[in-house]
Amino acid sequence: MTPKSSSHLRDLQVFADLGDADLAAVMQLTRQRSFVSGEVVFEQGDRGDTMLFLVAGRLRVELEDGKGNRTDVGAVVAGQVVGEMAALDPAPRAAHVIAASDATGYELSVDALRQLRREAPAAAAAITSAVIGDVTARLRTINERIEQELNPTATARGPGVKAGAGRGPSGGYRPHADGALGPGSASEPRTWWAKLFGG
Amino acid sequence: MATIDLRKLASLKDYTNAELRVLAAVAPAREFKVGQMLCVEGTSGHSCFLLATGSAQVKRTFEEGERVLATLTGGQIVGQMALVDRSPRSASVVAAEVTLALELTRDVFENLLKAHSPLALRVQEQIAIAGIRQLRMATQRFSSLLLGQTAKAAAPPPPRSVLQTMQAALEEWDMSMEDLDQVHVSVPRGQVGAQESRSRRA
Repeated sequence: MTPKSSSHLRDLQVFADLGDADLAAVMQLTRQRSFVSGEVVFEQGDRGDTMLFLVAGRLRVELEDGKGNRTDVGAVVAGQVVGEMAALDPAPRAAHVIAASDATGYELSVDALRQLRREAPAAAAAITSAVIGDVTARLRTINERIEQELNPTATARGPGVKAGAGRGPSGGYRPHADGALGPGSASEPRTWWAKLFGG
Repeated sequence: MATIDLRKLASLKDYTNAELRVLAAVAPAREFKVGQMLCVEGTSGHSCFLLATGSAQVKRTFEEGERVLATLTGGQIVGQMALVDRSPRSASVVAAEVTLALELTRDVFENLLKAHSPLALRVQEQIAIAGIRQLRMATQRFSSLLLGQTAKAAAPPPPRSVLQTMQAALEEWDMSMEDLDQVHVSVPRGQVGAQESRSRRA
């Protein structure tokens, strides 16, 4: 293990405006994690209560369906954060996260974040604010996707979502074989997931 | 402006005395009579409300008319998106009985946050958690609707009214999954509702 370096954390946008003392508090309360390529960072379904600030390397996000099929739904690169929702509200991990290269990050737990609120409120506020921004953006993405369903373009969609369209084949809702969402616009089933899960 | 002893409210029992003192100082208690509006759909919002007593309904206008999306009671925060986002109110909030609510404006919230007030940190955390739960619900619900994962046979498309309701719910971070389940989805043009209920559970 290399010694902790706060300059790494300083590279993350979320910490850009923090003073040295606040950043030092973050360093104190995080745990450095190193992963070799291929190593599991988070396992889908495991109870998560930590977030990871990635300072080096690259992670892959995979979604597993009920049959065990995995779909690559996004990537996390150095400077980004992953698993952040669990550090505010612990819950089973929504996807697998796997090191796509050798990678290093700093892990912050829900308890550590609580302690940060007391000891370095500016840092806690910055993290929470970043999470809110991220969640807002993702909710907007879902909202836009629903909008697509409600107002499909004439060319892209079948009878689709008209109220009471019945149980007949509806064109727009069949899942892809790989488990990604069926074609809202047929070309980009994965983009939608990528926006939700990072990358 | 109404006066009230915040420490006596069960809905605020999680707040420390110090936080309640700050709350009392910065968030004036306002009384709303039945039918009075706390938030008006489509207008720009600049504050959120912490309901102290009474109850309020979240309503939204749809093509086929107005629909009640949720009923909120003491201890719940409503309209908090206005503190972090400048988009217009996504729904109206109407007092269903005489309701006392503390109004926290965005300016006050931002100043408290800058001053690292524990109260502001707590509200900020609540906003984040509400959003996170909403997002998890939405991701799960919407994807299973589209994938029809629980249906043995080909799943029917999600009815328009379900999508609209969900869309409205996404914009109201106060709404839980349970709230969403309780939403009455009206079925236009004489369609049968059972299929809709099935896909809503899917």
